[in-house]
Amino acid sequence: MRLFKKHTDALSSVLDGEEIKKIKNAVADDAVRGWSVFDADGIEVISEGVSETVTAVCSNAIDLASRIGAELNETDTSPSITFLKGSREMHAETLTAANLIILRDNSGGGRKEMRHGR
Amino acid sequence: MAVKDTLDKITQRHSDVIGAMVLHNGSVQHNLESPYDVLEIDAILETFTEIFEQTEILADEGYDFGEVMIDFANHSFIVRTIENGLLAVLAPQMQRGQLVKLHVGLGIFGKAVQKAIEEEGATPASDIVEQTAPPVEEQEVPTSEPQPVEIAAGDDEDAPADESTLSSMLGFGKKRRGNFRGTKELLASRVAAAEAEAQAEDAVSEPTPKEVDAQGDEIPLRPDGTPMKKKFYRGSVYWE
Repeated sequence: MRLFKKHTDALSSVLDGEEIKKIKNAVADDAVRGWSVFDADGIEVISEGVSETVTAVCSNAIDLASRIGAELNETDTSPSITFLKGSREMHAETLTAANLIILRDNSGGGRKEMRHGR
Repeated sequence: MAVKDTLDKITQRHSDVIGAMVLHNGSVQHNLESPYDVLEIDAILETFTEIFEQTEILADEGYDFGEVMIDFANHSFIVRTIENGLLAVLAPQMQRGQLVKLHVGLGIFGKAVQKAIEEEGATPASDIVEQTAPPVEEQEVPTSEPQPVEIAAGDDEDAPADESTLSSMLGFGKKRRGNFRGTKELLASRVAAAEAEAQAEDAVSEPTPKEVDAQGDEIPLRPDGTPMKKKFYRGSVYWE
């Protein structure tokens, strides 16, 4: 929660209230190790515990996911992508005004289904 | 058990799965239940190989992911690496319980598919079945002949590579050495290199592309006459 409040002002400049609420919910999860928000141009807006490399890779992965959507003529242009191995998980998804990356480590608990909460 | 039989078992065991496919050593083997045609599947798998290539970069920071899932409004694609290839399944977007079950199942079947591949040995051309195999020139998959490994700026140019496998072409399992410059720089350098190459070609010979891809874009040719590959980066298109 403190993590969220620390960046509320910065977030509000690029995200609407509903999106901030989603991030707040995600960050409040103990399994979240870090998070990052970057705008539609791929510029990182704020970050906590997420490196530039991770941000860049996830941003590019979201672009590639959009490419799959285009190939399939999917009308949903906001795909999410999850990297998994064992209990480790890294999730990135598109928001209206930005992309969001959430690093999660679920080794201590069950998986929280994030994609249905967007 | 044949690879295809193993794929069939995946769809039988997991009723939510509507398609399963394997890309192995450049050969694509499809389950017939996928609602998408071959070219679409090729594009999907090609995109996933690019994503897995990106995950290798993450490994430098301690993230070694072997499985990737993409969600859209109606579908989930789940792809995991197997030896020298990828195993992918396609399913309608699922609830949590179904999703966890499928993840577990995919891990088990990934091993089963790998075992089936080993038992079958080299994938015979006849196994790239029926309606699944587009003409080779359209498929643009690696052949059995050794291909030169294109090493992008920032990669370890000295690392040994088994050029006969898709795995080595993508760099799976390859240890990086030296300074890592970061994905943004890496991708930017690829774009710059592609643009420079295109400008150089324009200045020298003004190549006249004859082939057109699925989007209707003309496919430029490399100096050696082979078609370039279309790449996407942050909404921009470039060729390399």
